[in-house]
Amino acid sequence: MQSAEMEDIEKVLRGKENPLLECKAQACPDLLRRELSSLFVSTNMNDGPLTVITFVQRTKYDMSAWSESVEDEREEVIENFIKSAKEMCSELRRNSQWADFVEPNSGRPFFSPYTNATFFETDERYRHLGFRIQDLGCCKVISHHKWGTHVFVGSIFTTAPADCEYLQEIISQANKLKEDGGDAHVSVCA
Amino acid sequence: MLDGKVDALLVETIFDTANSKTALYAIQELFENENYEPVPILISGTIVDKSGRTLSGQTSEAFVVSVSHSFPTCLGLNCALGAAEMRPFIERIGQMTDAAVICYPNAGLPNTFGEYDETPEDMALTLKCFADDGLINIVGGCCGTTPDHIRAIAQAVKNSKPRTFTERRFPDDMLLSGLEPMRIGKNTNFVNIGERCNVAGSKAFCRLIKENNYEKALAVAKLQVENGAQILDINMDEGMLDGVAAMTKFVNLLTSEPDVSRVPLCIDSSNFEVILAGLKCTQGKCIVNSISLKEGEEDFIQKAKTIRRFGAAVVVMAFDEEGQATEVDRKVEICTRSYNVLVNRVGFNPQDIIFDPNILTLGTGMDEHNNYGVNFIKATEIIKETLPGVRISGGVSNISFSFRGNELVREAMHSVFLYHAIKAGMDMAIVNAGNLPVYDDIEPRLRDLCEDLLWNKDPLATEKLLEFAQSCKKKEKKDEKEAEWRGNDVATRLSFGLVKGIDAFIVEDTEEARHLYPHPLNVIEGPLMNEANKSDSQASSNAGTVVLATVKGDVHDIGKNIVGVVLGCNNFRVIDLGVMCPANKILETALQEKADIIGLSGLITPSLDEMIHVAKEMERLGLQIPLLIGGATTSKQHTAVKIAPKYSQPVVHVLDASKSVLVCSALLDKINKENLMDEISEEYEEIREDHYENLREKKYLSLDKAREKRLRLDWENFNPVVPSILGTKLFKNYSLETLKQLIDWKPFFDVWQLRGKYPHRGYPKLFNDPTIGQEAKRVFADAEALLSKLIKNDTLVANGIVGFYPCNSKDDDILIYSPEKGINSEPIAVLHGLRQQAIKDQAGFGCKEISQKYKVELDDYNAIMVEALADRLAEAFAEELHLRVRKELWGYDCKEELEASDLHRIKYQGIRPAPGYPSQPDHTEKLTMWKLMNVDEETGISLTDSLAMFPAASVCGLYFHHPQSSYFAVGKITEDQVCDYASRKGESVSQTEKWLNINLAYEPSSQD
Repeated sequence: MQSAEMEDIEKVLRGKENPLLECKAQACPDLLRRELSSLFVSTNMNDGPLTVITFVQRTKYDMSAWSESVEDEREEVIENFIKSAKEMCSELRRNSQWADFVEPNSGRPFFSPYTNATFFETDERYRHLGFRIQDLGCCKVISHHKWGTHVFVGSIFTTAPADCEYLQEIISQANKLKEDGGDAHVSVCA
Repeated sequence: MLDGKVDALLVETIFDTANSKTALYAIQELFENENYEPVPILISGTIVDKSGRTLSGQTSEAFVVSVSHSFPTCLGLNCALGAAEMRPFIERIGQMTDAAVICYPNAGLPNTFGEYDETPEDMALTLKCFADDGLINIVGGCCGTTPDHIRAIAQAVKNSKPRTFTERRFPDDMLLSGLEPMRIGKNTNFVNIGERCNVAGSKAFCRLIKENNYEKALAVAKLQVENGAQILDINMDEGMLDGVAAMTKFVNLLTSEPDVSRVPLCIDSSNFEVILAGLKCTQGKCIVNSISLKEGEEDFIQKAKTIRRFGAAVVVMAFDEEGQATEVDRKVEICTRSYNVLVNRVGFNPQDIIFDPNILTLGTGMDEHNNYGVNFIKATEIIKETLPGVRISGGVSNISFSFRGNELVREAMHSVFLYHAIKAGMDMAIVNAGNLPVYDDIEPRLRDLCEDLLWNKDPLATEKLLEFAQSCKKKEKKDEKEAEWRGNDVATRLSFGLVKGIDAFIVEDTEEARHLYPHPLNVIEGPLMNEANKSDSQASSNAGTVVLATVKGDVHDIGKNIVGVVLGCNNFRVIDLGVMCPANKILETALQEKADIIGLSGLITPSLDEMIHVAKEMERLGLQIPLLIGGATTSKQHTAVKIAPKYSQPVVHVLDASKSVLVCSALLDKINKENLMDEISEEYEEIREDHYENLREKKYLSLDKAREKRLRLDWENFNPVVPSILGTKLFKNYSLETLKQLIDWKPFFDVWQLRGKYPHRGYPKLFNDPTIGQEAKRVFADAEALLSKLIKNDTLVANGIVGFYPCNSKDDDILIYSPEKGINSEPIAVLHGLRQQAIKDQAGFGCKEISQKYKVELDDYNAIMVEALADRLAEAFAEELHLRVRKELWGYDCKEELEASDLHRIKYQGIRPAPGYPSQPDHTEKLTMWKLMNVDEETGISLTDSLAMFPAASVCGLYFHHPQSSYFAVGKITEDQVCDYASRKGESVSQTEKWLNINLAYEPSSQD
């Protein structure tokens, strides 16, 4: 499978794994691609390369629980995601590629025009990207294969091919982010 | 037949249950008195059409309850219907009976010549499905079947396993029936027995019977059932009346009125001949009121045996050879003796015994009578404790007999008495349903006087009450229910009168209407035909027909209503069946209206099961139309794993209203449909694989391990504060102005799918959002205007109740104690908890707790806006009450000052988890809360079959104030915890698995 190969390439590029952040690119699965065309209406999503970058931040608190600390941590990681995603998108645009991401609170595209469609963190379509959506009865929570529900997941979409050099460079830069201790809350994560 | 040595007796083709009970009575008498060796009894009823009722009007469930006293070896159905039509009713019989299930249908429905067309192969195939689905034990054929049919059936089911039925159903419930079944169990609130059809108690009713005006007498019965009587008491004991004749005539008449005879009867007489007359013409399982040891043991046994053969429950008075018991000891002694005779010598089911420990008159002026109230309550407590299974009843109006003529005082006394008697364990009473004030609504002075009198706290209580009675004039009570419908316009009044069969105003209403129309015929064509016209006026040019429904047991419908509106705007013809919609109604409507799509909605977890049921039924009936699934608890995963495999046509989970149009349009277009279905089936297959893999992979701690790893709270440095009040506190008509300030607007905008994008997220920042800001402002302005109007006009009513109880944790449960007796007494209720087992951090219960519930009730359910606002107000009420609890009622956090926005972000100490949410996913815990605080009666908030709260804009929860308490998600749990939990709750494992279905980390064996 392509995504498994990708993972290996990533590991080589990264040297070691970041314990707090997993940013990876994969070619958009076909089933998801069709769904995305209603979300990003200004771009032709049906043809050409399409890549999904998932930006997974490990959290101190379990996101399936609910408390003031959980809320606060969410605010932080969302803020951090939006900041990083904006940077990544502008970098990709400099390389003449279309790129956009989903704003987590509204589930709407950040740059593209408004539509009825949404793509939330708990959207079952995240299954296509290797995540699990757990059903808690009244609500749902996303779960990561290593970190379980101690995560926040955001996604960035671009027409850059998943294996192209500048994209891989962006990914590896992103993966170094939290290791450098750039964010205040990183220190609390053991 | 018995002389001819038959092996078994079959009472069959029963379309009138009363008739069959005669046969069953005779058979039992032969076995008991004539020394015939008992042979197995087989009973088979006949459901005459798809309404699911016998010719005499009983549902299949009520039928089972009515004949089960004869201990049939098997019970089932035959004749009238073909196998396919019989299926739902056979299924229901199996769900009610402890016996084997027999089924021998006709060879289909008769054709125009009265002949039966179904071939042996077709019939055999249908019946094989019954067998394979575990519905039946004995199978055969009735009218129109031939030896070929029987041969084919025998061949087809040869290798099928018969239905298993080891578990006893409803072991702790009293079962009664009228046309419909009634179950009185540990979760039943108090049962009202209507008292007005009593010639001894009601002069008006007595006059009607004497004047032979049975029409009006019937209206008295009807009104009581409408006012909430759950059982109807019939008493014809009057010197001037022929009791036997009057009882026979009146009971037969009641049987002809389905609105009345749907409830069980209570045949009430001191003359056993009159009781017999009543029993002979009652088809349901009724209550006999009463027998006692007054005439000695032999007489008692004789009467009890007769009653048992009729299958009735019985009220036993605390009366023996020496007279009526007035003291606690004597009451208990007589009841215990009666119990032993009934259970051990007559073979009575303890669940069918009701004791009446004599409610005697207070305030007679004689000192020795002053303890009568206390004695009843004490005796009730002891009897309930020592005689397992029995129930307690009594005639409440006796207690206030000294105050005849003063209804205000009498009704207050009744309420005060019941309030305490029910707490002590009284299950039912003969009362004037509809005329009981709520305890907290009684004028405080009057209430205190009644309390003093009841508990014998003030020797002068009687005098004071009489004084009080004279000082206040008798209040005229108007019949609000009547006034309400009489306030409508004339057309509505006419159709209401027609539908309800009320003829009292029909002449004047028709006359009034006649003047409004140019021609009298217009009245008939207009209001009188209103209903019929409605269904014909549908236009046929539309994109397709969609039947929408919130499934049985669920009352939430905002999302469904939005879908309805959106589809309607896109030229779909939408038939919205509203809330609490049973499967057969959905399917019938879909077939009748030639629907193109069915859409099901539900918000609470038990609705998921009901959706599976609907899908199965669609498959069974061979429907060829897509099924859409939506609503807050539904998920693509559940749809893919549990629902889609049950139905061979497309089943699609629809995330929100905006998606519904896309999906519906695609499904009705041939090419798009194929594409969509290919995608969906591929995706669902993936989800299913993933799900099963996940179940296998995931590691779980054993329950013992999980308990070891529980969260350990710091109790050393924690001093629970004693609340300022103990017991319940009711809030009625809470100020909506106050609540308005506390509304959390974010979810309101979510309803409208208006979500601000970073950095404009949340209220009020979303108004600055470039795309949706303007729209949000407009909706918000509309909402505020409507809200002000609603508040001004008092259209919305906010009622709530908070209860504080001492409590302790015990393992995973919370024991709740009576506020008076404290934690060294027996707990009065137990709230059960579940533990996380998936390997991760642990959180847990273990704090002082209190619970509260409230609701916002509304009159106008139509507008989505009103519903959305009502939901918001209910939530705001929750915040307001929680705030008052923290600052004042419990008072553990007096200093707290928070803004509304902080409240919604839970920046305070303590939590408020609710049943049905991740910290306690089991909805049945609501039953305990409801019972403990008498929520239904106090606030009018009730629970549906699936334990949704009604009205829908209601919220409930438990308060914990330990600073370390936090919300958590139980997640998936394994079989060891489910078994442990079930045994703690006193429920069967399969029952528990049903309610916790979504949390199971394994596939339960009882499901297919």
